[in-house]
Amino acid sequence: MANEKDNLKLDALKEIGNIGIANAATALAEFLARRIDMDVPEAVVISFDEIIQRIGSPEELVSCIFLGIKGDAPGDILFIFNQESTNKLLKLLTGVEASGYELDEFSASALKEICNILAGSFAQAIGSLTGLNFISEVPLFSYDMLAATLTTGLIASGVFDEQVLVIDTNLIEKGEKIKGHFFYVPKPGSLQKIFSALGI
Amino acid sequence: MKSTMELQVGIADYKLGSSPVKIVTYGLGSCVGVSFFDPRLKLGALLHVMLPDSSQFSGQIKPEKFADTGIPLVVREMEKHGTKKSSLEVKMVGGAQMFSGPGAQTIMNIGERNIAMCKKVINRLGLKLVAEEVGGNKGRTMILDTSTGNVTVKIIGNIIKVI
Repeated sequence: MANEKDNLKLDALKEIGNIGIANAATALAEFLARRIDMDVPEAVVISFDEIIQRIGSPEELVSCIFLGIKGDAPGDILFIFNQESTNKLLKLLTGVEASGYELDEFSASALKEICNILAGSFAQAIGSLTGLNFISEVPLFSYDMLAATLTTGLIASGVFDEQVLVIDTNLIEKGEKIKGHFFYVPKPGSLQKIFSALGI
Repeated sequence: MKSTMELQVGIADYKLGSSPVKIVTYGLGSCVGVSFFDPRLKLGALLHVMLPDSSQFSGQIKPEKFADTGIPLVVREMEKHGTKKSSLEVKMVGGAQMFSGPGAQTIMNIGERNIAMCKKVINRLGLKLVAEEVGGNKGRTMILDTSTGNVTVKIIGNIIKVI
């Protein structure tokens, strides 16, 4: 990923992330009736271990929501919220913070619904940008060690190389300091379709 | 002291060490940790298997990544250090079903397949599988103590089990 063409593609991916996530953040802000900020997304090629380091420590408790994206350019979306952010998000959504190391069905559903909104608006934004069809699927859920959930999710989405291409960003709700990581992992061939739709 | 006594194994990798070194891999989900211990030499190794079968992939592969290539690789390495295959004690940890939701069993069945392939390879090589803590739906940290051969398994909430 060193030459000019590849850099251009990484920039294009970053821009896709920017548009998709801005749309998702707006949808979440409307849903929660709060201001949601986002960091400028990065498109990066990194190793599994580096992704984990970006987020936190491998044994840290996180919630991880996994959504398949079907349509013209399939891929997967993963959201990671650390324990503190999971609790704050749940408090905003349900009025009740989670306690302990398990989440009940109701809390898990609330988090899944949030990610449904985020992924749906991300897919919609990229869809209208590229003219391609993106459909987000029913979310899967895990509340466990960061390394265990994230690697399992990435492997399930077909990331088998040592190096992974991801769009990564943070969503931040200022007052409550909710920090969430967002990863978009395109399936093989999907990036080419997105790029050619964009004329790159 | 801790840093020189503890070796850390990343995903699709392995480490070899002798007493009193501890070899650890953090947060196994669908991946399987396979530990190898020679009680006579107090020599151990820990492999972090990511996928079951290298034959599904073409081109250059990293043998440590797969059960079918990683396990024989580690055994050969230990043999170079004087281990006899017949004296190795093997333990397995991980292979969990981490996600729940509609279709999770089929989308996320990699843990199950990892466990099955590891067992098949262990069997084929005639190795002794002396303990296992596999399946379920919890992420696990695995620590091999090369002074005893004990494997400590940690799940979230600091719940610890020694196998």
